[in-house]
Amino acid sequence: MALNFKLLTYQVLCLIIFVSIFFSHYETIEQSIWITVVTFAAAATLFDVRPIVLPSSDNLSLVTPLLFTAGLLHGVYSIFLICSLMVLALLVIDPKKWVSHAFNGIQFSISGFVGMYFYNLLYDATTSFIVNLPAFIAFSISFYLTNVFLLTSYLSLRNKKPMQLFLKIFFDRKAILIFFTMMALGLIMAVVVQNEGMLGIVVFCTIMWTLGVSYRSYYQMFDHFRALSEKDELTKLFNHRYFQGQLDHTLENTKRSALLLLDIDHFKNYNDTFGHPQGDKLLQELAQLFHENIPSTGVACRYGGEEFAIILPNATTNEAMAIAESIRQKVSNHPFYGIEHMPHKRITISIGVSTSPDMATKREQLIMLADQALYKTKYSSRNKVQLYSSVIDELKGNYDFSSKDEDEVIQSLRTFLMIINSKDRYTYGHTERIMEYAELLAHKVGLSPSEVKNVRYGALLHDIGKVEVASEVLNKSSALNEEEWETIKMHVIWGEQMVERIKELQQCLPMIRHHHERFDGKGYPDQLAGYDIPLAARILTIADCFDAMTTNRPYQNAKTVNQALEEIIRCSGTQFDPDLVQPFIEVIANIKPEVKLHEFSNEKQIIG
Amino acid sequence: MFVDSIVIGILASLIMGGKFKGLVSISLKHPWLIVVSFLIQFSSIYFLPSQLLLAVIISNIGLLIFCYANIDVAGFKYMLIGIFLNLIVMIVNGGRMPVDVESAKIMSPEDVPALLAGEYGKHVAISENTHLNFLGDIFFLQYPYPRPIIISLGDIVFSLGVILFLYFVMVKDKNNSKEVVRLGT
Repeated sequence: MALNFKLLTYQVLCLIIFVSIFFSHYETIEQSIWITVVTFAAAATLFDVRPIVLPSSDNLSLVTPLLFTAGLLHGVYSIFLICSLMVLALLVIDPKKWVSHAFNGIQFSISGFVGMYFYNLLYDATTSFIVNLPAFIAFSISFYLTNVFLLTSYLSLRNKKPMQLFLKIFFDRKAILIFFTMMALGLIMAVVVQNEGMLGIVVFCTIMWTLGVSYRSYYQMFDHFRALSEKDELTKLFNHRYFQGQLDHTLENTKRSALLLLDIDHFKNYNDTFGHPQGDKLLQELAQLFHENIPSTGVACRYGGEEFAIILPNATTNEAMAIAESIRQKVSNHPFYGIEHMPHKRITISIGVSTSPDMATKREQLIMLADQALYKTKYSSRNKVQLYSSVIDELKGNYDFSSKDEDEVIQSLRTFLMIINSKDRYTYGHTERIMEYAELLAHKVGLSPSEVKNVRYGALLHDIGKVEVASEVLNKSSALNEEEWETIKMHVIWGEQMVERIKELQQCLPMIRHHHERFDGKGYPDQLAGYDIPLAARILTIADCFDAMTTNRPYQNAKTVNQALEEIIRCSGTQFDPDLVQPFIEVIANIKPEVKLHEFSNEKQIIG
Repeated sequence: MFVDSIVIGILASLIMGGKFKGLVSISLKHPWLIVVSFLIQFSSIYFLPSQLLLAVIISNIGLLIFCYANIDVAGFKYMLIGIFLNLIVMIVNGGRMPVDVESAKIMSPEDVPALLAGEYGKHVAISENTHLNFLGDIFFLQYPYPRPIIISLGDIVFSLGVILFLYFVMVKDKNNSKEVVRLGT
């Protein structure tokens, strides 16, 4: 570790001031004062080691009032003696922190010196301690200011952070209030000690000590209940409620932050195989792993059953990805109980990552994005870290949206896409997949690059009108009635109207309007037939239907890819453009290895 | 004073929920050092007063070694410091501990003449001829403390060590398993 020269200079400077005041005030110590000093030092050490803890987790230290009393009764020199003895005792108790102990003693002495200087300016010897209120106030204020100044300089030099940061803590209203209450106690203690001598200190400190003990037990109780309310019992990580609050807090107080959502792959299988008690043990072990592998500023929470969330304040996207990746690797290499019965003989997790402020600034949005990223890996590969990537951002990069008005529309489209995704979990990734299929197919049939681009973003927006359709209708598993069908059919028109306002996307409008037309003219909304349907819309129709068939829905089980392709061949010429069927099969064969192209080429001959 | 601190330590530990069982299972390294040290010191006081300085040094060094051997046990750090403080002040005063005369007068007036004459065991009256008086027997404990006693700073630190040690063997040891792992802060 490199030496902090500024800090060192500062410490030496304080030490020189301390030593010079100490020797300039040197006097022979009488035995009676020595006894008092030792007693005060013992009490000060005691209260420094175990301060009184308030339920607000503030510490009350009786050191300052003790010094005040000693200064009042025996002069400045006794303050220096007490501080020196206290530092010696603290060094014995906890030698590792010798620098901060020594500095603490020095800064207490110097503050006490300044305080006593102002006290003596205003002191009126003819009256009692308590009547000398101006002198008392002068002591308190000058002591506090010196104390704060010395401490903030020390802290800011040590942590290399601006002084204002620490000043704010010290000039907090509560801190000042606590300090002045403590000083008043010092005044009372001075009166008691003056009249009762040593026994006064003992009685006073005993009372404060017992008070401290009872406060501490209150604090422990408070702490215990707080822990219960914000910790998850099983994993000892923070719970869902704390997570929500903490995420809000982080978003408000840090410039950037990242959110990781983690989900255990095949956890249901694990539970089914080994039973829930063993599943609980797995959760605990994983929680321990997460806790150990995040930076100290990070907060690990249990989001739900087998889902965890990690908040990383001040983390850049790259840092967050690196942390997530290291966690993923640690988990997949960890020898959990029973992994030999799991797929690939290991326990794996999938992680979705989103960051603020570049992706979202609101808590709900940030969670939703991380969730979407998580589901993306869940539906594809698993055991993977997935950063949320927005197709809308990609869209913005590919087109030139000049006016502010268009930008606003894009923002609302982004929101609509999010809503559609959250309305229907089963279609998650549907949009991305259709974009892929449609783009490949458009490329295959020889469209120009700009047309391919339009097909891609038409596919992105094709179902945007569904945002207006109620989720009950969208997700209904029984047959739809007449009225509901009419609503569903309207989504192509609504979608067209939404995108209409964006000049750059005019080319996509026919795709949105006509992607439910059928080749035989029985589709909606305009009953176009054959080659009257725009080519881009025909491409989209085939991609859309293929994906719908191969995805699990509430009302149907997914077909295999081969079954789906057979179905497309069957509907060739009725629902789909027959010219597009063979190119589409080839496209799918390219990306799905399980499709054997020759099986379909035979059937094509039959049809042809 | 040694007896006092043991009594206080045991009483305090009992109040804090300690058990006598802990006292039985005490195991310290080289306990014979204590016995030898005390034998040397007492025999010197009663049979060989002329060699008092040497005897005090040897016996206290024996105790220091004993404390150092057990330094990892709770409280022994303080006992070591306490003995060291007492040893220093006794060495500079020819093996005797300076005692505050005013306090001695109150406590046992009949022994004061012997004390002033320098013949009272291992004690000597505080005067201009004694050194490091602030480490001598100057802390006069009297009512409400149950029995009047004059002690030194070294005695106080030493007693603290004894009390902490007793507290540790009687109370702390059995609570060790209660630690709860806390995650995420």
